[in-house]
Amino acid sequence: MSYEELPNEFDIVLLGTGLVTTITAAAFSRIGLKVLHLDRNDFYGGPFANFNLEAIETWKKRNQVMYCCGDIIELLIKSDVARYCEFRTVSRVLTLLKDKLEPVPCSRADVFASKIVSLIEKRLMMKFLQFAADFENHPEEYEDHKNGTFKDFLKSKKLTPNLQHFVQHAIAMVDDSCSTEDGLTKTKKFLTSLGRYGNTAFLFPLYGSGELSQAFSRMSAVFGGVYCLMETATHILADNEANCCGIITSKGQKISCKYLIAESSYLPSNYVQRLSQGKISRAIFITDTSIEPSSDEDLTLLNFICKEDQSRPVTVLEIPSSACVCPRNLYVVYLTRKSDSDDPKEDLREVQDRLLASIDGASSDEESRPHILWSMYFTMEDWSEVSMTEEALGRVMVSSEGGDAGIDLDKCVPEAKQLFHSVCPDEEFLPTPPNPEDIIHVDDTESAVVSGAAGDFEQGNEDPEDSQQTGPDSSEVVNEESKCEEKDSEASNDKVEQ
Amino acid sequence: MASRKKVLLKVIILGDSGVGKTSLMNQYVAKKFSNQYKATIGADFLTKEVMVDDRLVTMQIWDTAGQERFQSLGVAFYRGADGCVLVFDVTMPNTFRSLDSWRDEFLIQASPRDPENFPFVVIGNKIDLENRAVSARRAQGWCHSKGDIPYFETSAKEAINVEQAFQAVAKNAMAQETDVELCSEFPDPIKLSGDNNKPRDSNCPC
Repeated sequence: MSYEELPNEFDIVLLGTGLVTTITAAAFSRIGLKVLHLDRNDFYGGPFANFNLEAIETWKKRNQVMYCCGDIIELLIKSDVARYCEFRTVSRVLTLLKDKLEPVPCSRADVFASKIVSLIEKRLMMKFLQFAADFENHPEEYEDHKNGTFKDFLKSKKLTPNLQHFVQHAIAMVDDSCSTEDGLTKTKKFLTSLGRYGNTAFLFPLYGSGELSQAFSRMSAVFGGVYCLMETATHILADNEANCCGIITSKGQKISCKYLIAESSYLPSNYVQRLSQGKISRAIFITDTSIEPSSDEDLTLLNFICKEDQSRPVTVLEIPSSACVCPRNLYVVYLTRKSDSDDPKEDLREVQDRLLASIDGASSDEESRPHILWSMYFTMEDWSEVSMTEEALGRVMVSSEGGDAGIDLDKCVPEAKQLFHSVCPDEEFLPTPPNPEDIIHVDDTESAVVSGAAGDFEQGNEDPEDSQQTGPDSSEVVNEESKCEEKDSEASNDKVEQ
Repeated sequence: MASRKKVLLKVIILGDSGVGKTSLMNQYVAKKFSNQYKATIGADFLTKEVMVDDRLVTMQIWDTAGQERFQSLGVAFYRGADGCVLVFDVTMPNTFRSLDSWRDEFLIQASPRDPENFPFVVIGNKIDLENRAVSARRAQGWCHSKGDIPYFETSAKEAINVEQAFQAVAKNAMAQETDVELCSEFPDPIKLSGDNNKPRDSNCPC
C-alpha cells in the first residue's frame, strides 16, 4: 500500500463525497470523462456518513429514507447502482393521536383493518385517497382552494379531525402552511410509492443512507473515476479568463482540470452563498426497546407534531438491528427538526418526554418506554441549497452537502442532474450500464468502455482558446500558474455546530 | 443446515495495484487474459457458478474497481464478504509486504464474526515471469503465521493454478456457512431490480 502520485490531468475534479457530489461524479465517469474525486476525511459521505459508535463520537450521523417511487430509487435502478446496495422497507408509519401512537392507515387494506377509524371515516378516507392519487385530473375538486392551504382544503373535504390529521401529518407530512397543490402532490407521491416493495411507501438502505454515496462512488470508479480519501485541494488555479484550470492538492501536487465541483465547505467562503435558511436540531439515541413494540422488527417512521410549535414537526426514525445499524435487540432513533435555537436538547425535549423513559428513573407509566442507553444532540446549519457568488472563478460549481430537515433523499437527484448537464448538456445522465460480463474484457483498447463521447463536452461553453488541451503542453499550465489567484479553499468555518 | 437453499458467496479480491487482481478474476471466470496493464476500468464484479461438495454455489467475485490505488475503498465494499483473496506479485517484494496491511484493513472494515478463522486465500501471481523476488517459502511462512492461510502460486496469464485458488476460497467459505444461517431470521433485504418494480397503476391507490 505504497503512496502513488495522482495523474496530473482530469476533466473534472470533485471535492467531498456527499450524495449529490458522488451521483454527479458517477454521471461524468459514466460517459467517459476523467474524474478525480477527493475527500478530506478518511471515510465517504460527509454529512451522509454512517459510523460505528467509536467513530460517531467524533462525527455525526445522518439518515434519511427514500420514497419507493421517488427520484433516487428510479435513479438507482436506471443506473444499476442498486446492485451495490440492499434495502429494508420502512415497515410502519406511526402517528401520535391523542397521546397514543397509532399506525397510519394508508393503503386500502390498512384503512379497512384499522381499529381507530369508524366505518364512515373509512369511506371518507378511501374516497379522498382515490381522488388524491389522481388529483390532476380532477381540478374542479380543489380549484377553490388553489391559493389556500392544504389544511383548509382537507377541512373543506369534510374529513373528520382524525382523518385530517392522518392525511396532513402522516401521509403528506406537511406543515400547516403547505399549499393545497403541494399537499396533494406529496400525498400522491406517498400513495404511488405504496405497494411497490410491499405495504410501505419508504425504503431505507441496509447499513444506513451513507451506503448510497459509496455505491455511486463505486459506479464512478468502475468507469475510471479516481478516488482518493484524506486528500483535498488547498488552492484553486485560475487561467487568464478567471476560469478554474486546476487545483493544488494537500500533498502539494498540481492537477489540471476543466471544471471543479465542490461541496461548500471545501470552497473559499466568499465563493458560496447559502440559500437555505436556518438550522436543524438533531438527536441520535440508542434505546433498549421500540417506542411501540410489535411482534416484528419494525422500521418505524413517525412525524411527531409538537404541542408548542406545530409548524416544526420532528421526524422520528426508529431503526431495528435488522437494518444492520446496531446490535441485536437495540434500536437507533434519529430525531430531526427544523430549529431556530442552538439548543437541540430543548428543541427535542417534547419527543423525549412523551415517548421515552426519563433518564432519572421515572414514574411507573413510563416503565415500558424505551430507555436511552446512549444519546447525542447537535445542531446543523441547513446547507441544502447553495449557489456560487459573483466572486467565484468560472468553471467552479458548488454541490450541496445535503442536511435539510426533509425526510427523504429525492432532492439530491435533480441537483446532481443539473450539475452534470451544465457541463454536458447533451449527454444522458447515468444511463444503464452494460452487464459487467460485457464490459470487462477489453483486450487492446479501452474504447468499449466509453460509450459517451468525451469530445463533446466542451461544446458551446466558452471560447476554445482557454480550454486546456490535454496533451503535451503542460508548460502552458506552468505559465498560467504565475497569474493564478491562489485561494485558500479550506473554509475555516465548520458548518456543524456542536 | 438448510441445505438446498441457494447459496451466494461474496468474495473480494485485495492487493496492491498492478498485482493482477482483475486478470485473475477474468481468467477464472471468463478464461481470458489481457497482457496490457491498465488501471482497472469497468471491472466490477463477476459471478461464477461452482460446485462445492455436491452443492451448486454462486460465487460473486468483487474487484476493487481501482479504488485500492489511493487507499479509498469504502467500508461498503467489504460488507458481507464471505471470503477474501489476497494477491501479491511474486516479482515485487513490496506487494508482498503489503499483505499485512490488506489483511488488517479487511478485518477492520469487514469485521467478520470470527476473524481468526475467516476464509482467506493468498495468491502469489505472475509466476510465469523470470524475475521472481519473493520465494514460495517466504510466502508460505507468512501464511503459516496468520493461521495457516492456504497459499497458491498462480499465473493469470498461463492459467496456472487460478481455478484451484478460487475453488479453495469457495470451499472454505462454504465451511463457514453454518454461521451464515444465523442471519436468516432477519427478513430478506430488498434488492432493487428492473423486473419487480413497475410503479403501480396510479389510478388505484389502494
